[in-house]
This record gives sequence, C-alpha cells and structure tokens, in this order.
Amino acid sequence: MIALKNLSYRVENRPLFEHFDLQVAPKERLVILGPSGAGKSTLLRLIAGFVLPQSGEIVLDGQTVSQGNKMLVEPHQRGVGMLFQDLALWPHLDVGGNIAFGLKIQKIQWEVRQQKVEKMLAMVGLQGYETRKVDTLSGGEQQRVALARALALSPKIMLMDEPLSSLDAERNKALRKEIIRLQEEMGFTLVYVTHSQEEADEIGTRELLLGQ
Amino acid sequence: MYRLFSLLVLAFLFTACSSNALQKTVTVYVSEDQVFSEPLLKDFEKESGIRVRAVYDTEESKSTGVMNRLIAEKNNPQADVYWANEPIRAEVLRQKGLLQPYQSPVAKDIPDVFKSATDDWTGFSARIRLFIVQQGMKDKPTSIMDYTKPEYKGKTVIANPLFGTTTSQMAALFSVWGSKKTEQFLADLKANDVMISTSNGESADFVASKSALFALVDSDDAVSRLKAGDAVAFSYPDQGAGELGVFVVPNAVMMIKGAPHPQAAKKLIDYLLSAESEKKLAFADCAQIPLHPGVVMPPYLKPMDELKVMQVDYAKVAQKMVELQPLLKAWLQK
Amino acid sequence: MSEKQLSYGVIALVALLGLGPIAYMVGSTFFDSSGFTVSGYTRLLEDAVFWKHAANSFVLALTVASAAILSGLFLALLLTKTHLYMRYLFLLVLLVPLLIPPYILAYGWYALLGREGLLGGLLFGFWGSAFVLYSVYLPIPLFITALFLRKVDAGLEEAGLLVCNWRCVLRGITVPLLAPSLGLSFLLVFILSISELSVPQFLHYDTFVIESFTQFSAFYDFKTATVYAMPLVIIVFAVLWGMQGLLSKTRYRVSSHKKMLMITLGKMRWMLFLGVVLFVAVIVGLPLAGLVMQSTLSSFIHAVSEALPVISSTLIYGAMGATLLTLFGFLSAHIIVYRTTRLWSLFEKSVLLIFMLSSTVIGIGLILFWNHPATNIVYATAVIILIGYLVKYLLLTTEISALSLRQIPASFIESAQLSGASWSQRLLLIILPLAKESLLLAWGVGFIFVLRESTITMLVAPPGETTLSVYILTQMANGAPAHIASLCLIMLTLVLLPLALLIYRLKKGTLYDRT
Repeated sequence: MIALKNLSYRVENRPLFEHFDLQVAPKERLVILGPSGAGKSTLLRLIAGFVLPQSGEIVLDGQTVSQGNKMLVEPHQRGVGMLFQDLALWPHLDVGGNIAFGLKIQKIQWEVRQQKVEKMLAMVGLQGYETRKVDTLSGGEQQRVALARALALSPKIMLMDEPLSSLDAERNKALRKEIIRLQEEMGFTLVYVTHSQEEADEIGTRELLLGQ
Repeated sequence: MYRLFSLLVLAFLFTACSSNALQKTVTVYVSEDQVFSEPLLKDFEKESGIRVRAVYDTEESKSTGVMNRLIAEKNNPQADVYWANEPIRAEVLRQKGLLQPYQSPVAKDIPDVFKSATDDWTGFSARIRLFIVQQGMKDKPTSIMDYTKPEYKGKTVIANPLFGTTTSQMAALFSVWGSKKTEQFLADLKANDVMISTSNGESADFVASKSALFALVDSDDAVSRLKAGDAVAFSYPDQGAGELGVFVVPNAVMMIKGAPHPQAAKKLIDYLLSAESEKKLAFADCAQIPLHPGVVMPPYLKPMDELKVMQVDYAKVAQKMVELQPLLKAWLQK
Repeated sequence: MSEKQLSYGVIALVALLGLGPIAYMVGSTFFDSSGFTVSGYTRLLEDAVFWKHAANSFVLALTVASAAILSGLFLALLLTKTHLYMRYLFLLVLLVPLLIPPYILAYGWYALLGREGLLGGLLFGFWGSAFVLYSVYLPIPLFITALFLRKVDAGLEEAGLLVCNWRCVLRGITVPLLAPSLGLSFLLVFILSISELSVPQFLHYDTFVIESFTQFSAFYDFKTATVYAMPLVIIVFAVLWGMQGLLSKTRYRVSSHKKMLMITLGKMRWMLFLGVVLFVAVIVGLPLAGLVMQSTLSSFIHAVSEALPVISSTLIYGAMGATLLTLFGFLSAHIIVYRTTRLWSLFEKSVLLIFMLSSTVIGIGLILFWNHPATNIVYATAVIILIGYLVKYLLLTTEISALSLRQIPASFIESAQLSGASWSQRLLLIILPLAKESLLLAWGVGFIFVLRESTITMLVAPPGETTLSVYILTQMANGAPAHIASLCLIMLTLVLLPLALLIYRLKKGTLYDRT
C-alpha cells in the first residue's frame, strides 16, 4: 500500500503539490494522467525517494519512508521497482549484467542469480539474450530488458514513467498486455504514468488526473 | 568579424614597425646575468644616446638561451654585439665563423692572455675560480688536488661539470695537464665521493649551510655569500711555486660578423672594455675583478696582479670542451 | 571565397608557419655533408644514459598520472556531485597551479622548504618533482571528470539507487561509465608530465626531456638535439592512438531534462569539508605562501615599478596571441568538425604534433626558417613571437572550439541551409553565435598559455622585447630572492585576473553546468 499524506512539494518556489493526499491499495493499478509539467513524474520520484517533499509524509507498506524533508528509508530499501521513460539501461553492462545488478549487490550466489536472470528473460520473452549489448537491441527489446531488470528484485511497488511512449502502436499494445499479465502474476502495486487515455483505460484499475 | 580582422592587421603593422622606428640602435645579446649587465647597458644608453636593444640569457641550466639563437641566426645576423660571461662561448662562436675581429683601442693594457689571438673577442672584468670554505676551517684547501684527499671524503662539493664555468675549468685542466692526468683526477674525485650540485651558487649554499666543507666556485658566488653574512671564507687555489695558479674566467665581448649596426657596435664594445665599466662591475654584486691594471676595487678579493693566474689558451680550452662532453657525461653517470 | 578555399587557406597558413619550420628541422636530421644518414639516430639508440633517463621519465609520468586520476576522480565527485560548502571556490583554487608557469610552484616550495632537512631533501628529486607535477596537473582529471559527470544520465544512477546505496552506485555504475574520461585524463596527464622540463630540472630529477634539452644548451648541435627530441614525439603519437580509441568509445546518453543527481553527505559533511580545506591548503596554499613570505611589500612595489614596461608588453602579447589563437582555433575546429576538406584528419594530427614538440625545436625551427633578409618584416619584429604562440598553442583553442561545435545539433545548421543561408552565413550567423561562450573560454585559455610561455619567446622575441615569464627566468640568475618571489606573485595576479573576469562573464553556474 502507498500513502501520501498532506504532501507539499515546491520547485523553485512554484508549488507542484500542496497538501496532497493519495492512497493506493495493494495490487491496485493506478494510472496517473495529466498534461506536461503537472508533476506526474515527480510524484513517482517522490515515492521512489529521489526527491524529498518540503512537508508531509510518505508511507509505503505500513512503513513511513519520509517525513517532511527527512529521508527515513533510502530508495534502495523501499522495495520499489521503476521503469524509466528513457529506460536507463546501463550501456557498460550487457543484458544479463543489467538484470543481475541488484541481485549481485545483495550478494546472491552466482547460480541463483543466473537462474533468476534466465527466469526474468523468459518472462519477458527474451531467452538467450544474456550476453547481448543493450545498445544492439531494438526499442521493444530494450523495453523488455528494462522491465525484467525492474522486476528482478520482486518489488512490492512498481513505478512506470511513460514506459511505452517511444514504441509504435503494435508493440505498445503487446507490451500493455504483458504488463497487466506480469502484475497479475507477481502481485505488485503499480503506479503508471502516461498521457495516453487509451493506455490508461486498458491498464488502470483506477485513474487519477493531475494538474486540474 | 571584419572589424576584428582589421584590428589584427593594424596590430601586426604596429608590431612590425615599432622595432625599426629608431635608427641609432645597437643590438646586444647578453649572457652575463641581467641583474649585473642591465645597469651598465642603461648607462651606455644615457651617455651615448644610442638605444640598446638587449636579449638576456637565463642561467645556463635553465634554457637554451642566446648562444643557440646566435648560431641559428648565422645567415642573417640580428645581433651586433655578444657579451659572453666567459670566453669559451666566444671561442665556440669564432670557430663557427660568427665573429668579426675588432681591436678596441681602450683594451691595450688588458693582458694578452685574456684576448683572442685573432682579435675576435676581448676579455674584461673577470671571475676567478676559488674555494669557498666554512669559516674557521683550520687547514683551508690550497689546491684543487685537495678534493682527492682522504680526510675530505664525502665532505666536498663541485658543480655539475656539464655546465658553465666548471666545464671550462675541466677543459682547461685537460689542455694543461693532458688527458691522462685529468682523467685520473676525475676518477679520484669520484672515488672520494665528491658531491655534485647543479650550479656554483648551489655549491656555495652547501658550504654556507655547512653541508659541505668547501667547494670550488666562481668568485661572485663566494662574495655574495660573504656579503649575505654567511659564515664562509675564501682560499685561492694553487698559488705556490710550480703550481697551476687560479683559473680566470673573464667576460668577453665581441662583434658579430654581418652586424647590422657596426659603428654603434664598436662604441658599445669600447664602452664595456673601459676601465670605468670594469670599476662598476667590480663594485656591483657580481664583484668582478678588473683586468685593466690599477682599477679601484672592493676589498673582498685580491686584485689580478696579486694572483698567480693559470696560463691557458682559451681557443684550446674551447676545443677540448667539445671533445670532453661525452667523457664528462659518462663520468657523471658512473 | 568558398568554404573549401577558406579551409585550404587556413591549412596552408598553419602548414607554412608551423609545419614548415618543423619539417625543416626534422628533415635536416637525416642529412649531413655527405648526404643521407641515420647516424644521429643510431647514436641515440646506443646512448645508455638517455634510455636510463627515459625510464625515469616513464616512472615519473606514470606516478603523476595515477595519483592525479585517483584523487581527481574523488575530488570531482565530491566537488560536483555533493553540496559540500564552497565547492565552487575549491574547484577554482585547485585550478590555479595549472594556470601559472610550473616553475613558479616549484620555486614556491623551494622558498618554503629550502634544500635542507627531511622535507627539503624530499623536494629535490623524484618525490618533489612528482608532487609538484601532480599539483600542476590535478585540475585536468578533476575538470574532465566533473564535465563528464554532468553527462552521465541521472536515470542510470536512479535505476541503481533502487537496488543499492550511493557507495555501490558510484562503484558499479557512475565510475565505470566515467572510464573513458578517466582514461583520457590519464593519457593527457601522462603526456604532459613526461614532456615537462622546468620542474624536474629545477628539482634535479633526470628525465629524457632534460637530456634532449642538454643537447641544445651544452653542444649547440641542432641536428643531434632534434634527434634527441624525437622519442617524445613518438611516445605522444602512440598515446594519441590510444586516446582516439577511447574518444570513439565515449558515447554518452546526454540527459535531456533531468538534473545531475546529487549525493547527500550527511554526517561526513564536516569531516570531508575539513579534509578538502587541508588538501587545498597544502597543494595550493603552501607554495603560494612560500612566495608571499619570501617577498616583502617594498620588494613587491619595487618589482611592479621595475617590471611595468615588461608587464604591459606581456599583456599586449597575451591579448594579441590570444585573439589570433581564438580566431584560428575557431576556423581550424570548423575544418575538423565539419570535415570541410579531405585533409581534416591530417590537419588535426599536425596541430597536435606541433603542440607536443619541444618548444626549443619549434623556436630554433622558426629562426632557421624565417630569418632571412627578405623575411625581416616577420623575423625582426614581434610578428615572429605571435607566429610562435599561434603554432604552439593552436591545439588548445581548436579543441575548445571543436568541443562546442560538436554540440551544435546538425538540425540547427540544416534548417539554416533550408532557409537559404550560404556557408559563410551559417558560419557567422548560426555557428559563431552558438559557440560564443566557448570562444571566450578559448581566448582566456590562449591568454594564459601565452603568458606562461618562455622558451619560444626567449628564442625569437625581437631584441629589447620580453615577457614576464622570460623576465622572471633571466632575473633568477642571481636576482634577489624577494624580487623573484614578487615577480612570481605579479605573474600569478596577471593569470588570475583574466580568470576572474572569465568566470564573472560565464557566471558561476554556467561554467560548470554546461554539458
């Protein structure tokens, strides 16, 4: 569960959120819509902990992760996965290296890691891609690698920032279905940012319009 | 853009014209330290009305300096006069055919040993190579052979013989002693753990700071330490009967072949060679010993006529110096 | 005039001014009175002392480069990626040693430590040379890394922060992404410290550059001396090869909207702050304090009044040299970035070759090439010094301009082309204004390097003309220590003034936030 309580966040003295409240139930798929500059991405970054609000409280899964401008739980300890708009695949690592990065940090054994990587790749339909360089992949394939990487640590909360915006209509559609399937399979809470009403209607169990 | 360009052109024209503006000029390249030479050249400007355009040298070990420039400019000389701080450089230039002989009327009473046999250069105001020793030292060294005495093992210093007056002195020894005896001397220096410094000034500092007992240095380095109040004293080497005498390193002034301003060049040379100039250089911090007899000088050093002087042919010394370089280099590395 | 004609014009001019004299020098090493010969080179190969000193040079350069890379990386992270107090000030102060002639720094340490005792003993020799060169060249990895840090996509780090803390994100993501820029700075520092003459010479550490210099100063034999300068050229070209490989690998995702991620220091903040204060005080503060202590107010005033004509001519030469360098740097960058002729690559390498060749070789080459009665208008005037500065430092201003030209999106120029702008209009109306800031930077860098130069100036300056850096060197021969220290301080002021102006103009943020 995600709870934002009485949150205020200003950028260069321009208020983006004021006394903002939000509740997301476990396993819910919340889609956030809104025009550019409405603070959609910022909301995700607040949840992930990349930025701190000036005031208010953020509670993830019953644990207060930030209070006012105090960081109580670091991003990597929040159990959050994220799919970035530009994917943020590390160019100096191969596909396997990207997916296994977090596992390696947690000092998980090599064999277990390998199994997990293979499982994740199978899940996103990219078997045998471990040693490929990320910049040799197509856009859709990169999307799937990023997804596999975000899911590798089995996060309870998944944040997606316009992940499909750069794909053509056909791939976009296919991946939407896959995201829903994965969410149902793995049972994470999803917060999904987009400005496509069509995407929102298909993916969301609830929609939130920002910037009104 | 165009404005910028025209500004540049103007600037170029300005710099191109500025140097030819004055007709009565003389160009002199100077290897004597600027600190000592510049005041004298300024005096000449005032007294003669001839503008002096000078190029000064750095310490020998710090740049490639004006000698290289003179040689590179051989085919289209820019300099009229070269003021060298020792005669070996003058001889190198003579041997490369860069000099114009000139017999200055004011140099008549300067001893012939300090002049080129062919009138290519004339010596004046000299340094001598003497020992700077720690003050109160009981048995001061009296000969350069003292460097090889076992009681001084590891306690003495000499400047790098690849540079400057130390090279000249080694070459002079070769020309007087011959190669066998000099090489033995060098080997003995090594065997006696003589320290090597980068310059005579540094050698003098070693003695002043009591890091070494004595050092063979130029007289100006020694005098400056004495004037600075350091606890040092001097000793003139090889003054006894049958001994070599002190090695004298006069300044040397010469005219460049094809000098653009030969008349002004002669005036400057005459000025530098005068007894008056020698007196100025004797009282300056460089404390150089006049070569004209009877010029008044400060009391730190003995006048030339009280010293036994090493009789050398500087032309031969210069020749030896070129042959000697590889040998000295090898010696340093041993 | 067409774009091609202008390009060929610039190339021809640089070739005539710079490559001509050098080709003349290098060519002459293969001939003696009896015709073609390689005897100079065989003598070099057999010179055991030279190769022993070459090994010294290698160890020195390796030490300096490794130390500079490691601490440069750490400092770059600390001073650009955290909110450490006064971090911009630290960056600026650490830049100072690079901007003044290196011998001034060495002289400052000498003024402070002397020659005696444990520290004085350490100063003279390997450790002193390595330390002074380290402080001189530290800004290179520091600023290159700081610049590239801004190019690292924040998203890549955020993705890492979701699974671990900053320490491991830096180790696993940020630093590996910086690898090419670290390699680049390593090679740059390596080249610069292996070719540095004045510091090891002043501090008595035998390197092969000193050896080749001795050929000039003790033997007056230009051919042999040029031969002895060649190994450095060969090393530089080998290193250049490595550098090009690294540059081609340096592909960064330039983040479009995200700001650089900052690290919160927390409790470490004060400790790190004090650490940096201490470090800066030792690296920059102490040697400058040495100079200040050795000079007195009266000696400073005396030095200013004495050196006033020299200072003003130094400023004039600096300004003229910098202007020429900026202009030609921009035109050269235009040739290289837009490949306006097929010769662009050869041209780029030539500019680098001249930069790396010993100043003595360039100086003697300029004399031999230009000193004829017919070309007195060039040689016997200040024009020759400007030529010397232009050919020696063209690489710097070219690279600065090229860096900014490469960042101008092709679409900007293409759309101007579609609107009917000719090449010269595109150059003057689109490219030039967009590169304006970098031209200012190029001018400042050109000015500072012209100010630092002494060897070429000494060899070709018309009689009666001199610059401050040469004047200091000639005064070092038996000048009073207080006077020399004061002159060094004046030099420092001359360098820092344009720097301050430059920073004021570029404003605090933009100087560092440019990507």
